[in-house]
Amino acid sequence: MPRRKVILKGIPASTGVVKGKVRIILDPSDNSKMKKGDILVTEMTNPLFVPAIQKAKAIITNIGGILSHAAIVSRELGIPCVVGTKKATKILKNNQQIKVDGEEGTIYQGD
Amino acid sequence: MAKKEQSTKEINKLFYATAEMTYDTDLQHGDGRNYWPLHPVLLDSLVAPFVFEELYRLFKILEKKGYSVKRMAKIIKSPTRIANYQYLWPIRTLKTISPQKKRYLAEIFVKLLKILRNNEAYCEDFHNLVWSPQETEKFIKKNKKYFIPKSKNPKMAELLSKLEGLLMGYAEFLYYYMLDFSRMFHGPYEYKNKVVFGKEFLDLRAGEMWGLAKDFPFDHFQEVGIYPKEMKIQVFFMGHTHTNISYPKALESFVLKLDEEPITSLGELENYYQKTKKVVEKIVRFMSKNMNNEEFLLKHGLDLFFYPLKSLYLEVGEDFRKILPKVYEFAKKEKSKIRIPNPWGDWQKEKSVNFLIKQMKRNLK
Repeated sequence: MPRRKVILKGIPASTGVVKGKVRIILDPSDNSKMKKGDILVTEMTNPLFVPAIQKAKAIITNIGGILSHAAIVSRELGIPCVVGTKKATKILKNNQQIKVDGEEGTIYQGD
Repeated sequence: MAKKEQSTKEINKLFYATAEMTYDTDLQHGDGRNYWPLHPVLLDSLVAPFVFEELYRLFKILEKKGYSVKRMAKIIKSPTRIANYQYLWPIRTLKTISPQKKRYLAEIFVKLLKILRNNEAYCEDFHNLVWSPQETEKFIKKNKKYFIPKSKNPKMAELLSKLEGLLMGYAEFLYYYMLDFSRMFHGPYEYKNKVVFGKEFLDLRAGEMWGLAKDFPFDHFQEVGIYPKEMKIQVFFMGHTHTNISYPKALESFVLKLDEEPITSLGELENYYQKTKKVVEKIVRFMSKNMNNEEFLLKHGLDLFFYPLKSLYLEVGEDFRKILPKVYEFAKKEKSKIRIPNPWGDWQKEKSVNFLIKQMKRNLK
């Protein structure tokens, strides 16, 4: 079986493993672009991202640590979260299929 | 003399815990640059002298009326709330308050934290022990019939976690980065080889502070969950938590009370969830439009520091809004003079914490 390629690493903030499509939201005014089951990729979340977070299967952020907003909300919702990747919004592309491992803090290529 | 030395030692501990948490929290927010929606030093600087003066005045009135610190603690209810007011200690504008008043406040904060956290004032072991073992047992026994096992009602457990996610966002609309004025997570408590953990949000129907919040379907959210002993929950001084397994995944059973009424069916919970969602959506729309409305953001930001003291004001027969015009006036005059500090940059934790402690000690003089 081929090994998945690690695309990014960050700080594991909420456990769980999911696969899905990337949706990069840099500004909450783009929340409506988020579809149910997408993986939210952003610089950092704030309460205005609530509508997008509610649809997300997982969250990946560029900045933050285990006590950051995205980490706390994802633990409440029980969805995987990787924070502090530094460059997720640059490396990942919209609609890209990825696998998020919230326990390791790793993002893998492919479905 | 020994009494003063002991009190200084306690204040030092309080300042150390505060400085450490301030630095850690700053780093969670992109090195302090990404707080929502205003930089904390701006708001903290504008409210700090008023909040401390008011707290001093209110405590003194209650003291004169014969209230013990324990009774005052009961009125305040949440140690997390008291802990979050500590963020104000390094703020420069506190210099207008007399050293004697500030020392009194530091001493009473320590006493309140000790009482409200069953002697673990600074979450030394990553606990926020609002309940004693006896109180935990009492709550569980009293509410035995209301506990819902996740295995029997997975849909309800799932909806509960969605509601909690919404509440986080809502608490941040009401209290910005000071959401722990509302959120009080407490425990973990040991009970019969299980982990018990309480999640509460206080003062949610804050209509007197913000019109949009008046329709919120409940004022007090209380969920007490039972988790397996493998669940490791850490609670930090200011109220943040971290777990090794996510809450919804590890949850075994729970009791949910909204305004002290137990919620026992999926239908009831769905009804509350929909009502909550409606208010939150309205607020998201409003805030999205007003993110550049500095006047609104600032005024609301000033209010949110006083609203959590409502219970103390009520106890002395006053309205928390009475002080606000003075705060607005001060803010109008002073806001352009507030210096926002640079991010920590390459300063390591020890250096940053020592810097903050120095600022706090200077403020005590």
